[in-house]
Amino acid sequence: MSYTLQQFGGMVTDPIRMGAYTEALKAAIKPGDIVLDIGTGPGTTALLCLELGAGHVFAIDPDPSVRLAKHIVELNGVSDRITVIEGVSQDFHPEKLMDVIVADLRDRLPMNGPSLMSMMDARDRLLEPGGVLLPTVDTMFVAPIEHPGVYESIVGPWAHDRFDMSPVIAKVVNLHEMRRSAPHQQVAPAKQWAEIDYRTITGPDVAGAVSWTIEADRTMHGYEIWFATEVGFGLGYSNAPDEPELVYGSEFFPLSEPLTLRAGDELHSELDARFLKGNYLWRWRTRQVRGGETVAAFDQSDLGASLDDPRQILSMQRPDHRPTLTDEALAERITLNAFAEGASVAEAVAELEAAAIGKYQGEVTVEFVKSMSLRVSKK
Amino acid sequence: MSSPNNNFRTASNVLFNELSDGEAVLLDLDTENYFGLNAIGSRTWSAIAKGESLRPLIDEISAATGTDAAIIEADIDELLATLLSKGLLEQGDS
Repeated sequence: MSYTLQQFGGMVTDPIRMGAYTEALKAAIKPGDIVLDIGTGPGTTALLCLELGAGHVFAIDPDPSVRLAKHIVELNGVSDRITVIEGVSQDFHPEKLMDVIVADLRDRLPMNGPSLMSMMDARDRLLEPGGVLLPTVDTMFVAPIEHPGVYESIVGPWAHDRFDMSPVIAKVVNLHEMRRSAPHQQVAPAKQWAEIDYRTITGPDVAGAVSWTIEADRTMHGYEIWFATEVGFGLGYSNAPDEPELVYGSEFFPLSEPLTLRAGDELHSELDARFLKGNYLWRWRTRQVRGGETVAAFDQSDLGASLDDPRQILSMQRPDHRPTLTDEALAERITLNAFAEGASVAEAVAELEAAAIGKYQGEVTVEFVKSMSLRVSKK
Repeated sequence: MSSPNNNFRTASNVLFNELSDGEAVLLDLDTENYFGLNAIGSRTWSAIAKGESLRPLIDEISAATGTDAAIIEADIDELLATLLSKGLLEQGDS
């Protein structure tokens, strides 16, 4: 996932986050070091690294905001010492290895699209032996949360007196979202759920199980997960509910139904984030045990919120399936063939018009071919 | 197999998604294969996931369809055997 310029703004002006990164970079960078800044955006961290003594900085990001970084390094007269690259670090093949690699690829949590894959690749392939990788360790915490207001905002619109809308409720309780609760809303004390040690992790999947014995009667509506980080050299910050709020936020995972917990009940929770096809698929399982008997159990996941019918997808992927192309696919095929044979945009429009496919006439054809040109042209 | 006792548990690598028509799909995260369940299969899975006995479900289907409970139980046993053979269910403590 990439960030908006406003989000980059939030990141570089978050004094706690920026303070920890700055101090860790001060400790990490020796004069003349080669530094890689992954996810540089408009280039603030790259400029900071140079200011702290780096000899050269490679600033890389697939996000278009990196185009501003190119202009910014020129504006600041350092284009000979900062190399700005629009792309992903996995495609970066430098002649020399890096002394320091710095990144903050997190969203609300460290698992953010290919973020962990990028960190592992950079560590294994781009870092000089003995070099410094920042951040070092992210630790994630989970707490069971009592938050009727949030829960009501999720299921309330579908809890009708007049109509049975329960199939919608069954879907929306599998949607997790950014929330930040107050410490008193924790039904039981937060516990460590998982740890990502960037120096040693070997895969992108993150999983953990946590259990509590409930001490007082409470209602539970979901879980909240947040992280604390050690950026490096003992410096870090925490996004815990009892700490000052940071730019990141926390993630709230609702339960299928609110749980009425009694003192003495056991609560067993398993939370998994599995990296699948470039994104994380979350699953959260809950078991409430009273007197040795399971009295409630939920098994929730992102898949439970899906409105797609995978059976249709499955049938279309069978080896013997013969696809019938949609009008759009036919139009793409004609346009691509035209481009591949050297046609201009205007010539491709003429070819597509001549093919007379469904809606692809007049202005629609022109706009379609223009957008195809934008999508498939080498920059 | 004695399905009513339900000493099965859903495999940790399998996700369940109930569809709008009461049927369901299972996604095996390790192989990324999908498996379809009809409405009774879907309810059987849900009962196993909650650690519930399958007896009430068998009795309910038997009463609703006028079919002998032993036949329903045999059908569910067959379903459980299939789910076990595909690694979607595990046998053990519920």
